Amino acid sequence: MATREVFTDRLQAGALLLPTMLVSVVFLYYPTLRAVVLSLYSASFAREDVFVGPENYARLLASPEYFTSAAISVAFAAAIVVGVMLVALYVTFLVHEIDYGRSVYLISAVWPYALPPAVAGLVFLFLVHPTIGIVTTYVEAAGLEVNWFSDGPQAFLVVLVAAIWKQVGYNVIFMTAAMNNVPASLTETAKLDGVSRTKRLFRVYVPMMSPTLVFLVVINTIYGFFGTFAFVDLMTKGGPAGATNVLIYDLWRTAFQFYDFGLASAKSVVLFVVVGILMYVQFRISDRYTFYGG
Amino acid sequence: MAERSPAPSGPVSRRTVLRTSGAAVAGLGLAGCAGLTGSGGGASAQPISDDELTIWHAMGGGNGETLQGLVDRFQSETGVSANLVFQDSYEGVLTKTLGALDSGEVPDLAQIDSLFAQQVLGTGKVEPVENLLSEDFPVDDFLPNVTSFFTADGTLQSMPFNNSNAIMYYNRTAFEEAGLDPDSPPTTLAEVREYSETLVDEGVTEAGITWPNHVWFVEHWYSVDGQLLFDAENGHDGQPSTLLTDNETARSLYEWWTGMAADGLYSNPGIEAWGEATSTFLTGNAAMLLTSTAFVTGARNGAEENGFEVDNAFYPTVDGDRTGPVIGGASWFVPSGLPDDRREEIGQFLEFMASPESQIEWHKGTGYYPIRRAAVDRLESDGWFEQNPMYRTTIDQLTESADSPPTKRMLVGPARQSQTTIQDTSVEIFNGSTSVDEGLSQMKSTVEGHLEQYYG
Repeated sequence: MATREVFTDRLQAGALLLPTMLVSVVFLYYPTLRAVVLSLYSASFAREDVFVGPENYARLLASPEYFTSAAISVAFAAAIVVGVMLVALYVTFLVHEIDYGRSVYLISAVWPYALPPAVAGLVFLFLVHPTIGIVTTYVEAAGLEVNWFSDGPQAFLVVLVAAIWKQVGYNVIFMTAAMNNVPASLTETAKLDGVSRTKRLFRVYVPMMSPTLVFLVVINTIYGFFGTFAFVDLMTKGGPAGATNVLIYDLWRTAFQFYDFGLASAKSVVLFVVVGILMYVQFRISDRYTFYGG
Repeated sequence: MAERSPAPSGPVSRRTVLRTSGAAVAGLGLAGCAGLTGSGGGASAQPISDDELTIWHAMGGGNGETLQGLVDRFQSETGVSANLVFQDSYEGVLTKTLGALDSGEVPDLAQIDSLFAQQVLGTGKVEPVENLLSEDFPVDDFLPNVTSFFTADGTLQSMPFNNSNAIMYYNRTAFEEAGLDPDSPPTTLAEVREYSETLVDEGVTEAGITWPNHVWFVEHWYSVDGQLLFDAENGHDGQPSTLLTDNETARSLYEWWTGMAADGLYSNPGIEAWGEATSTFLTGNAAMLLTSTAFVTGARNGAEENGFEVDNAFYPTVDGDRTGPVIGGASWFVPSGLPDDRREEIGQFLEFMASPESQIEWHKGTGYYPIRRAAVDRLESDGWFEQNPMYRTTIDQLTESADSPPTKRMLVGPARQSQTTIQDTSVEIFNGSTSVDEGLSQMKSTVEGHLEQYYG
């Protein structure tokens, strides 16, 4: 595709970009800079900010809880990316293959995505509540003891399932679009060659969908690190015993519950760097495997 | 539907878009944190509204309606208009109030939970409410063990309003079914365990007892047992430096709690899960509930709806000794530096809210206890307590209490940090992931770190 010069007039281009630039500068770049600066201060309500240099970072390095929290976040985000994409891919494939009622299935798959995270969190909380949950009754009838208010690994799993459930719909939208874009001739050829369904999915569709999948890996990673706050806040408050205390929740608590703004800023800078590095790695890896066509 | 690929364009642009959008979203977490701290200090306070009093509170549901009723009456009696703003929770009021005090544009009154009193007093930007009361206001008519918490340096700093303590509610119907005497509810932790065992063994309820995992309940056990939770008299006599966990109260409590959880006799509703705890009780999953006296109206209605008979009793003691419940609850704080005519209106509001009539209305509507002797006397002579014995329990528990340092609630700067540490570590202890001794010493050292960070 040739490069198109849509706007020849620089002023016009600038004017059109201005609203976006303004919003970005006011709500993203300036606050980001402020956060970096604030991370070098001891700051709270009703106190003068005191410059402390790298002390906040030193506090983080000396805190085993923080490292646990970081490890939990990475594990959580990784599980979300893998979980969401496998489930979504499977659901998308089923919807793709079915002959009748496709729209109905598609809508039901996408439905949870339409819920605001806070509502989804509450709905899920009451579905799987250890004492009054509807789902719990059936799970316990199967002989498993549901006790995720006290049991760390169970809580991690419950929040994870909730977060995956919420995000699958979003992935299905994009995957359906990408799968529908695979030329029908390829499907036909594969069928004629006697390629099994599973093989057709993983050997034909997935490579053809790779640009969309890379996009989704990135979006899901961001979701895993930042978008799951509501579930943690509503369902576990980071507990029990820190088992679901992901970085974004931890930093929110430091800022808005403990009012330790300097330390919270340091935490957000660290989180920013961690996610930044992860994305860089993802792009480098995907460069090798992604097929962008043409 | 959705038959096209999302962004049909060339490789370069797609990846650039990805990169920038990714970075932008990642930056969001970062951006959320900045811009919180104001310049701090200096200018005199400016009320949010010039035309009416702005009142920030944390009373939801039925209690919120009762409060609105009082404020409506205040407006029609005095002609002063007042705007009640619900801030969702005590934490919400606290955060917004601290931010407002920093910015200088302030609400006229803020309802602050006693747990956070020190954080607000520590700003140095609030005016002692005693300055706002008229000369002839009978300050000595307040119940002394209530006002003693809210008094510092001999002056009433904030106006106590909704004050409660924790009591035990129990399901009389379930007790009867299990063959227990509903007229003699358990009074000690050991008895709570015995009763719970019977209830569960008889298959009447799934668990014996439930309560929200909130620091207030731990505070109550300490206070009832006459044990301080923090040094420096729970922070009322100078800066506290440590959490007192190396004592018999703490060990007995946590050993009991761990045992109750391990044997399925305690139903854990979750951290700060007030609503879940009450629904566990009301739906008959647990036969006993520890919660605020402010739930008394809700308990009566809820029990009726669910077809059982409810009653309440004193908070169970650790080992039989009973000093008294912890005194706390919330109070009205007033920012300093407001114009004089505004201060006068605020004074009127405070006097109205503290009047025996208002206190009686508030007590009957909510279950919070009245803070004026005159109000208690009038309720007594009207026979209110005889007709409503559940409302009696809270008053008795309060008035039978000794005015000793352990019953004065903790007054510490990093209250929220201490609170979450105690709550989080409690879970670690009672779910068995750490031993009682290890958990308690870990709790102690973490809180010490917070205290040092705050005061240091």
